[in-house]
Parts: sequence; C-alpha cells; structure tokens
Amino acid sequence: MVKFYRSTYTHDHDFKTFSVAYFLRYPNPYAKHVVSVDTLSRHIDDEGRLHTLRLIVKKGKLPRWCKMLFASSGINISESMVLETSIIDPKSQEIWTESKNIDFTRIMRVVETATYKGDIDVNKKPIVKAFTTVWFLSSFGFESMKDRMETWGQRKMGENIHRSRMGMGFVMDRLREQGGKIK
Amino acid sequence: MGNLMSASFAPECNKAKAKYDECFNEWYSEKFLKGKGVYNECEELWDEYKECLGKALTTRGIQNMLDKSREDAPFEVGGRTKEELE
Repeated sequence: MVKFYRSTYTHDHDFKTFSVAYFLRYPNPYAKHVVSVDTLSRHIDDEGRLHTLRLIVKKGKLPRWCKMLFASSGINISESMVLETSIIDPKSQEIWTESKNIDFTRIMRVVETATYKGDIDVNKKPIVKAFTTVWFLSSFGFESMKDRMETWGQRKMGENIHRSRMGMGFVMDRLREQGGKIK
Repeated sequence: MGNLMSASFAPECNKAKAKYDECFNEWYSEKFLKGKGVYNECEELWDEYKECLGKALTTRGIQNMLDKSREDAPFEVGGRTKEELE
C-alpha cells in the first residue's frame, strides 16, 4: 500500500530569488531539525541545466509509539539521511527536485518530488508556482502497522510542507532585504 | 547580518565546504541564473571538499547506503529517465 500527498502553492517571490534561496534554505528557524547539508555532485548538462545531488541529515522526528516499537526491535532512530536531487533550468525558469530517505528504507520510504516554475500573476508581479507530491511506502511489520505508519507520515506531511514554505519565505525575505546579494 | 551557512555532516570538512559554498553561491546567483555562466568556476575548491567528503562517507559507512539508494528505481523522474538524472 502506498499513500501519497499532493499540494500546490504560489510563492510571492521572483524565480531568481527563489532559486538562490533553494540552495541556501538551511539553516532557518523553521528547520531546526536539519543537522547538515553536503553537496555530493554537481554538473551542467548540454542544455545548460544545473544538476545537483545533496545529502541532508535531519534529526529524526517520530511519534513515541513508533520509537518504542523500533527500540524493541533494536533500532534506534535519532537521525535520518535524505538524498536530494535538483535540476535547475534558468532559461525556462523551472526547477525539478526529488528527495528521498536513504536510511531506514525497510521501515518507510518517503519520496518527495516537486516542480517550481517562475511565472507572473494577474498584476504582472513575479511569482513561483510549486507542485509537490510525496509518496509514503512502508514495509515494516504487519499490515495494520504499515497502514498506521503511512497514515501518520501522510498527516505529518501537511505540517512539514507548511514549515518548509515558511523556511523558504524566511530565507527569500532575508535575500530581498540584502538586495538579492549573498553575504 | 550575513546568511548562516549550513554545516557539513563531517565536521572535518566544514572548512572546505564553506569555501566551496561561498564560491558556488556567488557564481550561481551572479552568473548561472543570469545566463552568464556555462561552466562551474568553483571546480578547484570543489575537489578539496569532495575528497574530504569521500573519505568521511566511506569511514562512516554512508557510501554503501548511497550506492544502494541510487539503484532504487525512482518513483517519478519529472519526465526524464534515470540515466539523464545521473
């Protein structure tokens, strides 16, 4: 059984500010669980798109019943690692990303893909439209437990996406105050 | 106040990472996004950071997980094949 979550959102910033903030979004006050961000590989393809692979380490946030369950199985989750792929096309003003956990995959796989597109709104103000899909796939234990994990993951996602938007907004506002310059 | 920079998962790589990130962010915002940069100018700084990371990933046993993860079929590839993403 796979559960998924879809959402759309419009960021009230121009594509360039959004793109700069994308790589600089950690740390921010809405992502205190992010421990580290490392760039594993990066290249520009023939069409001028920038491909980046990053490793993001997050402090685990699991419900208590979950932690107890894993502890009884001898698994201690305190941190989790996410592999983030991004492709940025400055010409078409599009960003495509995929994030997935690389540890504890036998318990639950969470894969998030997002596309961001620079556009203008009805008042000709620049905006960025975001489309996000998150899949949850659990393979731990009995069917009822899988269902519980996947439902928990799906519920938690709305909250997580909200926080990540707040974080992006915070970083973009800071960039705007600095006139778009990285300091 | 300047931007806070993220840390490396391996503290010994923080210095090399900071130098690379600073170079990349400047190139990315001032050249790449403005359509002026067709190649990454921070390659030299990147080598030092990459070497440090490579060692840290292996000694901490993360490299195995990364290799395994890359073998997994992606759920969706944004209209692109897996090979194109590599």
